[in-house]
Amino acid sequence: MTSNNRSGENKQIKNTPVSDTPESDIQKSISQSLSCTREELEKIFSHSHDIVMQPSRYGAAYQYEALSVHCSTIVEEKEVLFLRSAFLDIVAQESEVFHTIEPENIVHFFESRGVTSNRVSIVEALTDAVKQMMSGHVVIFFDMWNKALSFNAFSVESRAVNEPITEPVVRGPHDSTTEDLTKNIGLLRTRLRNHLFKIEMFSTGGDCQTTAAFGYLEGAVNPETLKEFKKRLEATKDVEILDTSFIEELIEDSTYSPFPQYRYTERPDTGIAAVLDGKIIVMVSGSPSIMICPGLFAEFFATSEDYYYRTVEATLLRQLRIIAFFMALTLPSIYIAMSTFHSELIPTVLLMAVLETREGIPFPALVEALLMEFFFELLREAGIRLPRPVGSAVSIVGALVIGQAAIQAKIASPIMIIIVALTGIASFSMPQYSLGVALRVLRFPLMILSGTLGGFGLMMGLLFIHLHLTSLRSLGQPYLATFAPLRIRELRDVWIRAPLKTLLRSPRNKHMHKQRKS
Amino acid sequence: MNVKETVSPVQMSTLFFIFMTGSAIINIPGPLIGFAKNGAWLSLLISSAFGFFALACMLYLHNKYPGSTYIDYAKKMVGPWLTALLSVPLILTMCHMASGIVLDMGLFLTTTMMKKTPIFVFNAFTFTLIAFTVRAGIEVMVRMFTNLILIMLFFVFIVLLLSIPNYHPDYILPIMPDGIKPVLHGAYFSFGFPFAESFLFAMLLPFAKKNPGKKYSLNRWMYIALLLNTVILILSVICVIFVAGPVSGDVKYSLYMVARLIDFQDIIQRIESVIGMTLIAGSYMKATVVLFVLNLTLNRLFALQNDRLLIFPLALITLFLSVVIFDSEIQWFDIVSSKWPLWIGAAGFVPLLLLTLIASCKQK
Repeated sequence: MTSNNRSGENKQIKNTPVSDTPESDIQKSISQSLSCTREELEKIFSHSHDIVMQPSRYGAAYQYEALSVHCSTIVEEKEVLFLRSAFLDIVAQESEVFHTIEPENIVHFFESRGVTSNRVSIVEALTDAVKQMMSGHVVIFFDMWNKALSFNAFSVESRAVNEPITEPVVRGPHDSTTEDLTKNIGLLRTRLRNHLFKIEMFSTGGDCQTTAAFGYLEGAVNPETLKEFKKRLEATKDVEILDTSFIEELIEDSTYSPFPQYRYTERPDTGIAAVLDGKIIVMVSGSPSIMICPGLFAEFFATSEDYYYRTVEATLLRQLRIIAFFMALTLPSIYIAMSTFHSELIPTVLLMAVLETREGIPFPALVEALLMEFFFELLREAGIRLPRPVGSAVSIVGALVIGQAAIQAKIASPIMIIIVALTGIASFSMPQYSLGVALRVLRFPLMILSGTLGGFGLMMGLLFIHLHLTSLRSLGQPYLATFAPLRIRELRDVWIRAPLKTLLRSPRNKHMHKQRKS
Repeated sequence: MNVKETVSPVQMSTLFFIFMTGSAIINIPGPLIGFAKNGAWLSLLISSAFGFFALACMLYLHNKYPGSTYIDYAKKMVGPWLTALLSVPLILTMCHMASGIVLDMGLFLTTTMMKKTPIFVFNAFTFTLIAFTVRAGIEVMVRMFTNLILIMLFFVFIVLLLSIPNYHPDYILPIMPDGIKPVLHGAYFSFGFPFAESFLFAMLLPFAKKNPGKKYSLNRWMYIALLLNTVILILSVICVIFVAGPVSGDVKYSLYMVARLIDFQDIIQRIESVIGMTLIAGSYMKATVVLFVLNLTLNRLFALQNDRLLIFPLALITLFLSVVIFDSEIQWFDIVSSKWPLWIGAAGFVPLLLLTLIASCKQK
C-alpha cells in the first residue's frame, strides 16, 4: 500500500488522501463478487506467505462461498473459526433450526447488528480490511455482499510483567511495563480507578501504523499544556514511530540541548504518580517505556522510592543526588583548575600530596584528565554493547588498564584515577539515565574551559549551562521551574522530601485545586 | 508601547536589588573606606538617600505613564528631538557603565588570580555570555539571576560569619576621625556607584506585571529592595572595618582580603576564591542588565522592529571600549572615584529629575 503511496507522492503532492491516487487500487470498495475480491487480495498479498486465505462453502447445496483471510503470524490459530461461531449465532436468531443459511440471512443479521458471541465489526472498504488484517483481525468476505466481517484475534507472545530492569527498588511495587500497550494501560488503570483518568489512543503514521496512547488526569493536567501537547502530536501523524523516544524527539522544544526534556519510566507507580501530579504520559505499543511530559529539571532527581522511604532518609538521598550531579559535572574540571591555576587554594598538606603523586607524569592535568575520561567512556560503552558473558572481561581489563597499569606506566596519577572514578560513580547515581548522559556530554567542554582559563573558565561554563537551562522549556513550561522561577514552597518536594502528610493533604497542583473546586 | 515579556513585581525588585548589589558589594568597601575612613557607613546612608529619591522619581513617572519606558514618556513630554538629545549622554553612560563593570572584574582577575592572562580574554568571555543572556530576554534573566544572587549572598554571609574571630569592634571608633568632609567625599563616590546608576530602571519598570488588586505592590517591593541593598552594603563595609580597621582603605578588594584571613581549624582556609566567584557573578549580572537597558533604549529611540538586532554589535562595542577605556589601573581608579559620579549624575540623574519636574508641572 505504501509503495503505491510513495510513487504517487511525486505526482500529487497536494493531495494527501491516498484514496485519490489512481495507483492505489486497493482503495476500492469491496466488490460484490467474491472471486474479484480474492483476485485483488492475492495481488495485494503477493509474496506474503503468512497470509492465510481459507475459502468455505455453505448453504443447502454448498453453493455460496465465503472467504476468511488473516495473517497467521499475529493471530491465535485456535480462534480463527469465527465463521462457524457466526453461523451458530445466525441459526440461533435469524433462521429456523433446520433451515440452511442464505446470504440474505447473513446480510440482514449483521447489518442489523444481531447479538454475536464474538465481537465483530463490519468493514466497507478493502483498505480498511487490509489494515485490519495487518493488525491481527480475521476478515471474512462473503459472495454477493460488498462488506466484510472483521473479528479481532490479535495475539502475539509478549513478555510477562516482570521486575523493572532499569529502575529496581528495594521497597515498593515490583511490576514493570512490557511491550504490550494494552497490558500497560491495564497496569495503570488498576492503580488509578477514576473516570477522570483519560487514555487517548492514536495511530501514528508511515509504514508502521503503530498504536500509541497518551493519558492524563483531567483536572490535574494544565489545560494549556495539554493543548500544546496535542498540537505537537500532529507531527507524529505521518512518520514511523518505533519507540516512545521517537515521539519525544518529534515533540520536544529543543532538539540540540543535551538535557532530556521528558522523563522515562517503566514503573507503573511512577507513571501514576506523574499523572496525579498533572503530567501527560505517552506510551507506544511495542515499547515498555512510559514517557512523562513535561519533564522538569528538578524531577530528574526524584525516584519513586523516595516516597516509600522515611522522609529523613529520602531527603538525605535527594541531597546526595544533587551533590552527585555537581560532582559528575564539575569534579574533573575543578581538579584541573585547582592543580594548574589555583594551587594556592589547595591546603598545603594536600597540595604536597598531590604534587608527589603527579611527579613523573608527562602530561599536563588537562590532557591527563581528558585521556582518562576518554578511557572511561570507552570502557563504559564497550561494557554496555558487549554480550553479557563477555562483558565481565571488559571490566577486568578496564580495572587493570585504568587503574593499576596506567599509574605504573606513569600515564595518570592516582588522584586522577580517583577523580575519574568518582565522577563516573556520581553520574551513575542519577536516577534518570538520560541526565547522566547529558552530564557526560557537558563534562568535556567544561574540562577544556577550566584547563585554559582556570576557575574563571569553569565559572563561565557553568553560567552558560545555567543560562541554557533557564531558557530551556519543556512543553512550554520553564525547565528549571521551582529553581528558576523560584517557587520556595515547591522546593519541599525537590530539595527535601517533605513528609507525605503535608505532600498528600495539600493540593500539589494549582490547576487541580481550581478545577476540582468549581 | 506594549511589552510582551513581563515579570512579577517581586521579580522586578529582585532584579533591582541584584543590579544595585551585584558588583558593588565587593568593589565598594575598599575605596569607600579609603575616602571616608570609619565613617564609610555614614556615607552610604547619605548616598542611599539620593538612591531613594531617584527611585521615588522613577516610580512617580512609572505610575503616571504606566507601560511606558523612560524614552517613551520623554518623547511624550519634551518631544522626540529633545529626547534624542537627552539620550545621547544616557547611551554613552551606559556604554561606559557596561564596559566599566566588566573591566572592574577583569582587573580583579588579572591582579589577584591570573596575573599573566591579558585582560581582554576575560572581557571577551564575559561579554559573550552577557550578549547571550540579553538575547534570552528579561524573563530568563530574572529567573537565572534570582538563583545566582541567592548563592552569592550565601557565600558573602558565610565569609562574614567565618570572619567573626577576626572582628575587632573597637576599630569602628572614632566614627568620624577627620570630621564630616571625608564622609561627604565617600558619599559622593558611593552616589556615583551604585546609587545614581539606579536610573536605568526607569527603562525597565514597565516590564513589571500590572496587578490591579495591589496597586502599590511594585512600589513597596522596590523600596524594600533598595533598603535591603543599603543594609547589606553597610553590613559589608562595617565588617571590613571590623577586620582591617585603619588599613582597610589601602586594600583594593577588601572583602577578598577579609576572606583570605579566614583560617578555621586548618580546614576552612583560603576561601577567598568564593569571593572571586561572587564578584564574577555579580559583575556579569549587573553588566547584563546594563546591556539589556542599552539595547532597549536604542530600540525605543529608533523604534526598531527587531529588538535583538543590536545586542551583539553593542556587546562588541562595549568589549572594545572595556579594553581601551583606561591607560593604567590607577588612572581607572581615579576615573571611577572622581569623574564617574559627576558624569552619571549629569547624564542620568539630572535628566530624570527634570522629567519628574516637568511631569509634576504638567499635572497642575
